[in-house]
Amino acid sequence: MEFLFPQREIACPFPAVCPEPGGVPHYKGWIMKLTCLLVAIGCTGLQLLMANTGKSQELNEVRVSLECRNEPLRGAFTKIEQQTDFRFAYSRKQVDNYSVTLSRGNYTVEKAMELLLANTHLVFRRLNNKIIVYMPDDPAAGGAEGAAEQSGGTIHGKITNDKDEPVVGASLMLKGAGPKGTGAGTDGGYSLTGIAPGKYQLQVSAIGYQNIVRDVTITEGQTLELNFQLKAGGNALNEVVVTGYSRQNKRDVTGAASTVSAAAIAESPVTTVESVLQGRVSGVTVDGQGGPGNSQTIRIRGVSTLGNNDPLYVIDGVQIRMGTGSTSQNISNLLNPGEIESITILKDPSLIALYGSEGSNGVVVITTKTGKIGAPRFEYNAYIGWQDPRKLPSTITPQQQANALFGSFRNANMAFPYQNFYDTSSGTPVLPDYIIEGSVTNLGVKTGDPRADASLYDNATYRILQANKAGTNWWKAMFKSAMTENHQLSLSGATDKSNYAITMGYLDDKGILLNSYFKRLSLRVNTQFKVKPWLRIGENVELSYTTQSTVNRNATNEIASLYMLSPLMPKYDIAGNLAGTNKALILGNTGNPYTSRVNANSNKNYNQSIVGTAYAEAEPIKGLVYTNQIGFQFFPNEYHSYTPVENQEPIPAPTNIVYEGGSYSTDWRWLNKLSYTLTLAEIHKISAFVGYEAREFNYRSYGGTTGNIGFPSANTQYLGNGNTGSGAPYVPTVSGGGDKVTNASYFGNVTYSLMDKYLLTGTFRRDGSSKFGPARQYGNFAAGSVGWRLSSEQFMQNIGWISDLKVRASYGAVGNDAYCSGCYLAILSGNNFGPYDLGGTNTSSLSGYYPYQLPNAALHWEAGHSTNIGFDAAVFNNSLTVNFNWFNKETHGLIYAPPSSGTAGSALPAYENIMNFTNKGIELELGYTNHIGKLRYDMAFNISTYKNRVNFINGLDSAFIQGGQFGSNGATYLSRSTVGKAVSSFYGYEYEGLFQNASDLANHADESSLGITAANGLGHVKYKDLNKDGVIDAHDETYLGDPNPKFSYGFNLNVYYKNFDIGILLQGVYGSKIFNYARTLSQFPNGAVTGQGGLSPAALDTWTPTNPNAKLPIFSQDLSANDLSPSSFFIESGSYMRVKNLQLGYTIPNLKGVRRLRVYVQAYNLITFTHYSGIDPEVNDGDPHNLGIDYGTAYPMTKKYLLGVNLGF
Amino acid sequence: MKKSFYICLVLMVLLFGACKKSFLEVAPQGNQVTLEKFYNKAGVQQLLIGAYHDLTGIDVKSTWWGTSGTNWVYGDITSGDTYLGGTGGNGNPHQSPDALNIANFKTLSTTNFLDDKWTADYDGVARANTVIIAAGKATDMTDAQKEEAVAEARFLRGHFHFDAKKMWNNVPYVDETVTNFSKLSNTEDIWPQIEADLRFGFDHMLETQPLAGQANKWAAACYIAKCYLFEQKFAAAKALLDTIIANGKNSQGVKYALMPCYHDNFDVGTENNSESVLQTNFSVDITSLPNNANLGETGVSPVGTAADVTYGYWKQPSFNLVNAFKTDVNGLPMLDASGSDTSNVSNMKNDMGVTSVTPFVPYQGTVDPRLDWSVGRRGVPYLDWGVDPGADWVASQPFGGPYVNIKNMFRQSEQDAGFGGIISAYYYVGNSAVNYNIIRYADVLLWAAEAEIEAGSPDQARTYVNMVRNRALTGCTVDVDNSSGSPSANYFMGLYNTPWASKDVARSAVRMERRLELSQEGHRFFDLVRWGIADTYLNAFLTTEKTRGVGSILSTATFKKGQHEYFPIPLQEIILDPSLKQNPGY
Repeated sequence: MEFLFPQREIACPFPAVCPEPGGVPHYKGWIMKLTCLLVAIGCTGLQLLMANTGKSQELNEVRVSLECRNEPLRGAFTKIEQQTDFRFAYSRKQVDNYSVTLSRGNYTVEKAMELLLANTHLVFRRLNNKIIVYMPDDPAAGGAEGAAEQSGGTIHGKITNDKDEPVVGASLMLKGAGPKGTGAGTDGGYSLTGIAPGKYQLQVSAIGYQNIVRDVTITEGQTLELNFQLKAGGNALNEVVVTGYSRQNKRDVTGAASTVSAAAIAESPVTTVESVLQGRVSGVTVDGQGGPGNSQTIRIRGVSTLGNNDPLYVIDGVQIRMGTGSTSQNISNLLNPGEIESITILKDPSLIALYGSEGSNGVVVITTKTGKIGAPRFEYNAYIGWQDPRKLPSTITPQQQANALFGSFRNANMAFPYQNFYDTSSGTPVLPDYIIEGSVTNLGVKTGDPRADASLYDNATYRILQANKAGTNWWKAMFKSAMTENHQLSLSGATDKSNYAITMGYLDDKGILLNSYFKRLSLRVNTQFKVKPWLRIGENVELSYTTQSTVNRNATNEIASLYMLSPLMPKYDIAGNLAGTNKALILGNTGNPYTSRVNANSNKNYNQSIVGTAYAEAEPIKGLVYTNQIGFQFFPNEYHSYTPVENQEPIPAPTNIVYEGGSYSTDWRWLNKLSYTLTLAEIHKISAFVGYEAREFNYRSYGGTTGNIGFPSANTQYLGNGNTGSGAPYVPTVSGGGDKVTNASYFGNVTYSLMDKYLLTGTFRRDGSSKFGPARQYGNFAAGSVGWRLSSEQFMQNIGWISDLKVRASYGAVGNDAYCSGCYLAILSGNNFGPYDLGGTNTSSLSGYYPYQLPNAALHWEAGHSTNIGFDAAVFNNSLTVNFNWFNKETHGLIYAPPSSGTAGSALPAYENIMNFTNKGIELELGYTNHIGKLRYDMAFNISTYKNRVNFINGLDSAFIQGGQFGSNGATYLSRSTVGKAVSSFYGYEYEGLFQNASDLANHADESSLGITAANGLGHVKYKDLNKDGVIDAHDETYLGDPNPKFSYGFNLNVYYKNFDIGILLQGVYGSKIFNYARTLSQFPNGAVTGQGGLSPAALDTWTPTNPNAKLPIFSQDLSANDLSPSSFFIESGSYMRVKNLQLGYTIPNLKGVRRLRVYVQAYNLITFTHYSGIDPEVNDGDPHNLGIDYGTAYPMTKKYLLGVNLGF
Repeated sequence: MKKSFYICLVLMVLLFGACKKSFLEVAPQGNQVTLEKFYNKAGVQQLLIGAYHDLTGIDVKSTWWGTSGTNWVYGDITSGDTYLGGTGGNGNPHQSPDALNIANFKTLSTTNFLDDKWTADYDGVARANTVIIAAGKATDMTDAQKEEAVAEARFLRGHFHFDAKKMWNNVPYVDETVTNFSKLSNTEDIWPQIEADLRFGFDHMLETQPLAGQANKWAAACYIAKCYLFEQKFAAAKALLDTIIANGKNSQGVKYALMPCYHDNFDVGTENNSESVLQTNFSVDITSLPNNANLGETGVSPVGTAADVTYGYWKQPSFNLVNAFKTDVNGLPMLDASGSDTSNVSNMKNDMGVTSVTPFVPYQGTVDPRLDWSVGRRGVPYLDWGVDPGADWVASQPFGGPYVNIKNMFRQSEQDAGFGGIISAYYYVGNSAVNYNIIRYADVLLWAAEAEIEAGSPDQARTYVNMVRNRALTGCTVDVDNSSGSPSANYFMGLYNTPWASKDVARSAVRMERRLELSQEGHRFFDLVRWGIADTYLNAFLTTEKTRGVGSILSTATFKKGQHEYFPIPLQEIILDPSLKQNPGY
């Protein structure tokens, strides 16, 4: 993409607003160009324009509008220079004598020159973009260049970096009487000639380096040699920001955007893009960890909808929306973070508006590396290391477990039902020696009992396990240190006709969870060719192949199951088979996750992806660029699993089962864009583009199961091999589904900059989506922004410590169509909830249909409106940069299907434009670079905060939407969204302590609606009678807290001394709340999904008359007394601070033939400071309904320790 | 202008032309079809089948047990006839505290099963309404055909509303015109609307239907009679029931009659028979897998009857029910002269606390033969699964007692023939194709007996009761097991040969007969409520239970008059429709 829209000056397509110096507008010269523009708009839709200067253009093609009334010849030359890219070279001695008159007209440059010079002795010729004017008989005129060089002075020299390497492409700008600039060549050399004598400011800049500004004075004929050494680190204001379909210099950007550079990415040993961003940019929250290769959630300026809140990713211009349209892809499957050149987060509407509906959650623009002009570069980057779980829960012994269970029945005055498991004849439970699992019940027997006779063992019907009285620590069995390694090779280079970059990566991230892993093999090829002077063609393609085995986040995942598993269970039964629990209550009421994890060795998820773009860019007329771009995404996925008989947890075990399934999605986008840029009178920079984009997404999935495979092993686990075994016959099943979405959009954008001081942008977009009904398919959205660079004003020139200051404001709207395809329609389904055996056959049923989705034909686009006001400043000679934003982001007409009442049946509820809410907040980013002697350092700090508030739900103040579904049938809700509160605010009772005695019970409000009465209430939870009506019921529930943090922050410090470098990144959130409902899994005898298996040590501190200050209520099997109502009892602080990254590197200097060799050691997630009692405060799973709720399903956070190398030559 | 410009221009025009207006018109993918496709005869038929499907109680949001169309959770475990059973432990995803709370009369408005049940009933209503909408717009149907389809749909709508009415009493009525579900009222009595729907069914449904599982006009007539009984309109009930008994036919045109064998009502081989008024036609088939099987009672069967029945341990018959099957010297139920039930003064001998390997001689007293078609007990053959071994087939005697359920359980031969058991990858062991009788003719005869007592002739009532008893005593007893030397069961049963002494005695006899004939068929609790005896009967039952060893799970249960007759309106429904009023006491 580097070449797609090179940085360039911006030209004006609308001459009417670009008066010529004389003040008289001139139109005719533009008519032709405008005509093409209109034709293009009319026939295609459009595209961006950003013209390119320096193209070869013929003197007889370029037209100028001229009128001269007896004025100096030089003045005429200036006018031509103003209207074209041509620059004049002449000797003032020869030219100053002439005055010219030319009638007003529109001339080609060639014609104008002929007329201007007609009455002089001068002649002209063209050399590149120079028009050299000279006296043919002048002694020096033999060399035209010579003639030119003699007029004015010359500056030349070399631009290198602090390692004395040439900085190819660094730019020089001579500020003074009109900009004059050049770029450094492959050797870093540059030359500026024909500089009129005078005082100038020379500015040297390059991406990734700090600017240098130097005053120079040049006299006639002088040749100055000036060499510059650029310092790395860069100046944030000078970075390029890729904005909607174009790129801008950050100093001209009038919206809110944050950038992460390649350098920052390089220092994170992370496998995913999401983790690169954590702690590094303001306004972006990254949360959760789902195991190797799984996505963390990224939220830009908070939750913006109740559906998918994932941002849009734009990789080299290809828009990729994750997690929608049934695709299981996540960004880490597609992209190796090592390929990234830079990441830009677009946060406000003036920037994201151009991406339209897909950008409504913010946009993450990723630019990958491209070749740079010069010799081919080879790089090898790698690290290897290990990782450990940051924290694992502790468990209790089987005897403690049995005692607690026994006590729980005694406390409820209930008979102990497990007398055939634990021997309770002595009054306390005695652990059995063997566990017998049968179809009838589970027994505990002593050694020598005939029922424990090994000859009775049958894996399918009668399993015998030797009880592990010492206790099995399932957490330790399931989690281990794991290796991780990553290798990346790249080759890149460029010539003036083409460039290329090829990157190969291999990642092997073994998860800390048994048999979990993520492997990625990726290959990226970026190339571009300048086929003709006016035509560029290129492509970027990434191929990747990943294999993965990890856990999902559903309520009964293997991690949640671990909390519940009995420590008395051994890993293997007496026959050496993996132990199954028979899903018995006494053993944990769950399958054995250890067993399923060992078997997960044969469960594999294969993801392939091809993501790329191919484009052609033509510039048939100067300034007018037509782009035709095809983006494509192809995601095939394959899943294979095999469940052996011994993993059939409940007895009897029917048969082994193999499942194979897959899906693929294709997503093509076709973009037509026409752009035009121009600069008028040096002070008006205008660019505009119009575009049309079409997109089609297709998805298809299919799968099948079979079972009873004979001689099961890896080579027989195929669908075609069903029922070849001796087990019960297995009826194969098949499944499949699909989706299709189309979008069509028209858009346009104009940016205008006056004297580099006043900046103006306007954007319009008309989006069409197949997801809406015919009358509602299109939505119109617009955005605008203004900026004012105060630092360029005269009155600021004396304030020396301010290098740059820009204030900006923007407002705009974007649409969002993120809901299911065709869901505005009344849809019926004929799946297996429809058929009925109306014929009375008993073995067949007749096809029947039923309402599946309730309709809403009026459903329309959801719109995000936001306002952003901020400033960017650089002070103290650019050493300190400040970036500040205040924003107000409003979501209007949020599309959501609120739960419909059961009275409407069980069809999916209709989608409605139901809700409005706002996220208001501020963001601050500070950057500072300086040095103390030879010790250089830079630091960056960011802090952001937002306040989320619901403003409207269906017009009803009392309305709310429930969230935080919990329980096996999901009928407990832990949070609500309602007017005046944050989305998914916690909701429930206020915890008031435990009932200590009868008078306590008698004096407190009646809790019988929760099953707690005078008869059974001792030691149970006391809730606050908020409405003071003497009864605890639904009216006493209230809002218990906001899951959103008060603020989140990051701090990054890098220090460089000689060849050493050290970097540290701290990251944290403050003021968030967590609903720790994971406690119900292992701290209560009667949780919604609890068995009588595993318990946490916390469960030993329960209420008894002699332990009145216990943390937990009485441990009782009285099911009617429910202590698990959602309440403040479960709410904890989620604040934390992590030492996210600590890195120490050493660069080995002066190796022959080696450009760079650096080795480093690194620790990731080294230390975490938090009071949260669960395994990690990053609990979010990405669902906005589940904000801040710990379901006990999260994969534990890992610590990593790495050794790495960067090698380049 | 250069050549390059024209090339670009031509390309732009060509490419743009490729994009048509229809580009954004995309039909929903997969097995989803828009409603318009059903505006025809075939479509209406398919929607009607979809509406019938909801007789199973298994809809998209179903929790199987909580929504079971057999109502065993609401009609049986609450009635004193049946314990919840199982291990009593909590936390099994399929053994939610909900069921235990319901059995203990601790039902809360937040009890999840209730919301599922509410949704299941109204899903049936919604499906029926969809049939009516589509029939109204169908283009290839005659008016008569439309009327038939609408009549069948309205009949089903009546059924689902009835089911909700008996559960909650105060329920909203939803017809095909309702689109706003957030402002419905439940304060108006909807009996008139239910009756109107059923009446339309009676007037316009066919007498003989093409398909065995379809309801016919007589089914509608019976349902109207059922409404009358619930409304205490005995005279109207009697009149209608007289007509039904005289002329009623099943949907295959066979005159209503009791089947020769009592168990024919619970057997795959004899479904949709002359005794069938309305059955839920369960099936075990790949198409509906597994949702047209009797999922609502999956696991209700004893754990040991088949190697592949794993959930099976619920709905265990109570001591109280089993005792009721004892017969006196005349072979009649143990009612004293005043009609009071004396069967529960002492327990029938049972194997509580006796392991399966310890020898055990079953009760030798006389019993009604229907006992062993209804209750699995130690020593007696359990259908064709073999002799019940007692404790080994029970998950937990301390929680569920020594007995196991038989009603609606499939035979081993039926499982072998594919009418039950495991299908495919699913653990839906215990899937059953055995139909459930929503209304059967014996039920109708006993209604008639009730109506006669209240608004006609007690002797005619006695005739009806004797019809039912006669079939039980003449038809097909279980082959008792004599292997231990003494027969495992001693069947002796007689008819009421003398007129009942009083109306009260008559009522007692009829009510006892309903209990014995229809035990564990999901009716008992609703009968107790409509008879107005739920509080006295159930509190007496609960008092006795506390002495019976399984009492701990019921030890804190009390039936509160004026509250527990009806279930609480699910809180979730009130949240979503604040205009719904909660039932008294909740």
